Amino acid sequence: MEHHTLFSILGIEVSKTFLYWLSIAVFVGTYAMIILEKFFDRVAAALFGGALAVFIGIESSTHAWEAIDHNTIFLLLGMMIIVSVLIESGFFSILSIKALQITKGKPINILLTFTFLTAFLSAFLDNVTTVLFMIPILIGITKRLKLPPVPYVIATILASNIGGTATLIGDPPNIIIGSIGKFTFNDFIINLAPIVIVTHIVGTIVFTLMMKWKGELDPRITDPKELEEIIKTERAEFDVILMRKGLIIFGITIILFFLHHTLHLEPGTVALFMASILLLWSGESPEKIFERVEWTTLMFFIGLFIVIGGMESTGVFDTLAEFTASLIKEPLSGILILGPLSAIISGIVDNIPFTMAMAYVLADFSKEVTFNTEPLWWALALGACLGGNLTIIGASANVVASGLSAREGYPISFIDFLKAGTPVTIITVIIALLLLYLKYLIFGI
Amino acid sequence: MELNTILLVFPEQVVENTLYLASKFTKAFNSKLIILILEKKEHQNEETIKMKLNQLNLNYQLFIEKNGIKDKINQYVDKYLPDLIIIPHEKIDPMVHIFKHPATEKFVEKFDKTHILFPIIEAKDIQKSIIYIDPDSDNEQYIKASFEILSKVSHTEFIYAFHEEYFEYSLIKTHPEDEAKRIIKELYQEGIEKSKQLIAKALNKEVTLKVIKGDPKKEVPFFALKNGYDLLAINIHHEDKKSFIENSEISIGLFKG
Repeated sequence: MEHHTLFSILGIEVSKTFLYWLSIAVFVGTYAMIILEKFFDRVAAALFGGALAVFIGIESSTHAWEAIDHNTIFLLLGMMIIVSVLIESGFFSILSIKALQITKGKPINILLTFTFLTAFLSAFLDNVTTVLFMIPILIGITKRLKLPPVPYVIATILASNIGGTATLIGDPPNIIIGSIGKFTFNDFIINLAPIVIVTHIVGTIVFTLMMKWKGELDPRITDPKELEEIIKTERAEFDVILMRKGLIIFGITIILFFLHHTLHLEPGTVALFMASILLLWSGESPEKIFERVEWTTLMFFIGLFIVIGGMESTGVFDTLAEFTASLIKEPLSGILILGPLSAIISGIVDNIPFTMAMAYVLADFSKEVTFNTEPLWWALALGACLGGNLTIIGASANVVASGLSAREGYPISFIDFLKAGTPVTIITVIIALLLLYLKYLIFGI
Repeated sequence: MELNTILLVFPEQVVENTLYLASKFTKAFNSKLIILILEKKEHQNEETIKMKLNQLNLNYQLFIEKNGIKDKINQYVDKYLPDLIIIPHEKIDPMVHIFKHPATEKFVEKFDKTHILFPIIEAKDIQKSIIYIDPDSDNEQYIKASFEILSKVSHTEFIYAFHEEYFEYSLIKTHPEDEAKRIIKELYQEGIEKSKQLIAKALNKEVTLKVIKGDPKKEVPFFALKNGYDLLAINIHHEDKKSFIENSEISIGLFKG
């Protein structure tokens, strides 16, 4: 069947150059709609952009379908299902109670424990999912301890974005980079995890000092007996059998992620396969589990992949790659150009569409140049993930977490987040990129 | 309800709290107490144990055997035909429980010959107990047995849990939303009524029925813990028996129907 487009229906002949500029216009328009969150829903904007690209003939529907990176979608979907089962089992609620017991209700301990736990979990789970279960628990605990929840929530968001930078599956930009750049789970662990550990420590110190200075770490309940009672009475609902099954599957999934390169299995295939086994094994109603899956995030990705696929098919990325090649002459200086640039852009706009576009540019750029572009990919990952901490709209996790906080009665203003996020972002990006630079300088590329 | 013989099993060592608990049941029902100690690591000082038992003024027989929980208990059950078995167990942290499945728990999960009390070792007394009722699978015998045993030593109530989500997910596929909601409401009322009728038939009197919503195997143990109950009773033949045991942080009673 012949595919008709708007122009062919109208009988208008269009040149390749026209489609080239049209694909850029659709991308910019979609991007603008995503930024203007007050007026447009970002998921609807992304889907509209994707559908428009097909409708006006920038790309065929077949090409649009192929442009969707199935590895990214499967990986996100699979992990969301596994985490949903773990949430349902009460695993994370128990974990938070443990955290409360460990911290003994002391504000500084709560801050350090929650940020560490969030950063650690974010490394293995998607950030949105991590904040989805951590924020309500944290708000509950801070409320019980009469502490102001907002600074703790912001600290947790920042930790989530930092921790998520460590692995292939930790943050959506990394999933995209891993899939388009063909990097393995182990590549991320080796190249990014050590840097992220240092960055997290530095970031935590900065944030702790800021909170200490503002008096946000001062305990509000000073009676030890009252404090003890609060800790003692905190309980969680759980299902041990479901928790056991969920953790077994989660553990095997992580092991397979480490082995996926050797097994020649894409992480997305592993995640979705393991998630389907868990659904069968747990006997949980798929409807219930799917309620927790962030379908809107998945649709956002699909829409963006189609929009970007349009630019890819019209050759925009070839041009951008050529331009980047003229700008970046060698990988080391490239780290210092691409890293901060990615951080700034990711801070201003959502880091997912930016990373998606930039990953395609880098993929084409890698074909244009003779040197190893690997350092640039890591600079992009560090910049995009850590830069997401700059503003409240910098990363999906920020948007989701601030929404949750507002729903609980503690809205986070753009300025409040900026005040906390800016110093942490600047310092963590500088430290991370410097460490990456030094790594390649000392050990070579 | 008569409890002629109670078999008290200590899988590793004598737990004083459980001993007092067992003595309470023994005295309440004027039962004969068979105490079986399954020696594991330490040598049990028989004289000390006997001294403690004599202080409690009980009609008992004491046996110390080599370890082998499953075979030994079955052997003693066949020989003495107890009406109730009491086996203490350690309260396990849910996080640890994921990886640890003690032999006593495995035994209790498989055993269904007679009523079992599975008290946590911290439990010295049972003052408040709650009996879970599933009107679709439980019968009058279960209600009668569990209530008559527990109410003699504690304040006893009943609980029914309506798994609303389960019905929601299944009905929403086949019915329009409004109709599904109406049916769910009816099912909820029907569940309560059936539970009340079952209790009334079994006991010939009115007792408190607590009603909660949610997955019973998760919500009922949580409700019992949150509301200060010392023991949760379930049917020994319940299909989710294992989950109830593993999800409970309080003592469990398993009663035959």
